[in-house]
Amino acid sequence: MILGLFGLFLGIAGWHAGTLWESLAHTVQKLSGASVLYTLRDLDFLVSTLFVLGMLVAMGLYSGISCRQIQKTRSLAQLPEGQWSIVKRQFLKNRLAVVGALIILALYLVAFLCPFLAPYDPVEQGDRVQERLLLPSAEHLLGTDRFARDVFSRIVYGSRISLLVGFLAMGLAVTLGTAVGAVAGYYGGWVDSVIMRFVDMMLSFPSLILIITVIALWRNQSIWIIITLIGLMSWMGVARLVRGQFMALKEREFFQAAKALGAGTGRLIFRHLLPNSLTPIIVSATLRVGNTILLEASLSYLGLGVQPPTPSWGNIVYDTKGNLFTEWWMPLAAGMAIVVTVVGYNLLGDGLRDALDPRLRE
Amino acid sequence: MHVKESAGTVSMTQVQNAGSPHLEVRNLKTYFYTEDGVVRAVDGLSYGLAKGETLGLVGESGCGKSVSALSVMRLIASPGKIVEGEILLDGLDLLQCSEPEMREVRGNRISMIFQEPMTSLNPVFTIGNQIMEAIRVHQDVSRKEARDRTIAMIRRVKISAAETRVDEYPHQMSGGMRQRVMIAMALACNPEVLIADEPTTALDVTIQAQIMELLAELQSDFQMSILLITHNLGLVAEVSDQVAVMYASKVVEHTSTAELFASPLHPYTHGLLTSVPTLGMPREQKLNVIPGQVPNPLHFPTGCRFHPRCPVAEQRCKQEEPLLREVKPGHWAACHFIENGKSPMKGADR
Repeated sequence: MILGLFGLFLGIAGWHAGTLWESLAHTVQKLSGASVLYTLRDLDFLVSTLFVLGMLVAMGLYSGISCRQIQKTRSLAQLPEGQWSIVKRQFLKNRLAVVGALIILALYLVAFLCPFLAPYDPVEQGDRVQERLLLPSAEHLLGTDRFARDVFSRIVYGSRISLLVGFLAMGLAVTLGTAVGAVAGYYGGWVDSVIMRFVDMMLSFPSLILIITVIALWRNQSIWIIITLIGLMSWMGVARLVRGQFMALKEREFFQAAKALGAGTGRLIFRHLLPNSLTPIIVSATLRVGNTILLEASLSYLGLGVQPPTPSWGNIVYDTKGNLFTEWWMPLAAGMAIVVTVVGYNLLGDGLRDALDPRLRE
Repeated sequence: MHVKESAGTVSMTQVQNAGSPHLEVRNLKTYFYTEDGVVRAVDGLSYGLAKGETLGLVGESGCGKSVSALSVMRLIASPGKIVEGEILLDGLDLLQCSEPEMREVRGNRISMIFQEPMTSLNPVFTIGNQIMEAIRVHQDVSRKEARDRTIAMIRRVKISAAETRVDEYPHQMSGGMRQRVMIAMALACNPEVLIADEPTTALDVTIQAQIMELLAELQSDFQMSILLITHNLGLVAEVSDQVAVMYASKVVEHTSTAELFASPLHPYTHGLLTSVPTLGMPREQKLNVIPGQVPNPLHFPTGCRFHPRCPVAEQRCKQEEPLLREVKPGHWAACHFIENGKSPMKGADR
């Protein structure tokens, strides 16, 4: 697997050796000259170049370390199996989960390597007369849209938006939800009542409509605002989960024992309660990434999300909806990308839940 | 020391013949304010624990043993509350301490081990990590030093291969091993008092004996006092110097172990001892049964709390609550009918 990836990166590096070099030279030149402005495309190439080179270095280091590790374990006596290797084994047993993990891994690779994978600039418009609404061909894998942009390139670049939104919005939601849930669960009593009633109130808002309203009021549709809003609207489930976990863990004897040893609030929360709640938090985070991606796609489809010409899967469907019956493959491809991503995350989440839960092991 | 008649308690300083008590509980009352009413889990409890000694606190399930131990650690959570009393550790009243002061006491001066070794350890950290934590909570030592002391401590509680075991997770160990780890954690900071709340209940008999032996050995090494909470009379007979018998949230009898087993004075203690089968008793002889049930702590009987179940109860017992008084030198009991150090029960002297 590692070797395969290594090969893949070497392949990409070799294939684009010229481009890689050009991009680096370009950057150095611009850094020294600084008279020419960066274009977004330059930045993309730079990021991807650094990513490929970084991955190559990391993999070299990793294979060195793992070789040494294998030698070490061979020389040592048979050690009992650690927690994580059990989890890994359980996870690998579950085929669907592995498929999900591979999908997500592939998506992240695509997102990082966009400029090398996409044959065209996603925002560049071709000849509006001759290259508009072309059929799929070897040149344009999925044809072109009504602005003569290559749809395949747009979908490849769209993965960035979806993964970015999914990851960051979920990160925000999980952080916020964990903090709120931890306070409610640890202190209990009236603190808990007040916080949980607030959570109930937040949950009773229809989130899509609330986000639409806020965006409409703000008159600003930057991707960061959308991420923040989606994050702010999806932390409640995590808060409830963490609160429940804390409440249950507080009754466990090891918590009492830690208190009897004189551990303070910080130690109790960060060493005893939080690490023991991590499993459900990870699982729910993974399962909810799918939801945030869908939410972003819905917003973009409604024209309130990521603004054209920046491609996102949602606004590709929106852009192509006028040609739904003639160029049906365009919205279909973007829709499929959304579905595959969400399914991938859900499979990964389910697999993680099963692998991390000791009760489900045979 | 004086006798506080008004509070219905006796200063237990007098109980101890050997020196003043290291840990003294006076008239402790811990109530739980539930929706059904006030549960008086501990109601006027007093005992003293001398330095280096072991006090066995025995009683039926639900009589308030564990709550009294948690009260000493001040770990009673809402809706529970320590209503009244004094808990003196070497003269320091723990009930007057602030929460940060109390954290300094917990694990450092008073430690506690629990009943369930299977669940008393945090499942996500190695045992070494957890013992190190116990050290580093109270002492400012480097990681390296804490680890060395941890390994020494693991060796001390007689776990073999301490250097590799230190990196194992709780789920890789047996119940007896985990209890040893718990003991290592509790003793990591050299506490003066160890509260052992049914430390061997969840273990099988051979392991039980090993653990108690280990505790006795460590007790003499560390010069600590042990408060042993249990419902196992055999265990108490073996390891403790003094015994306090609890019934319905109060101590009904308190004396040295030898004295208690030789001549129990309180009718409850008597019933308790005769309900345990002994080796060599005639096969056709029926075991004694204490009739009735443990009273509901929401509604204790008036007067003597044992009167509905007591074979010698009279009208007086329903109205007047007997005080815990010295009925014999070094022997305290709470019953109206103990006179001249004689039990009201027939054939009580064994």
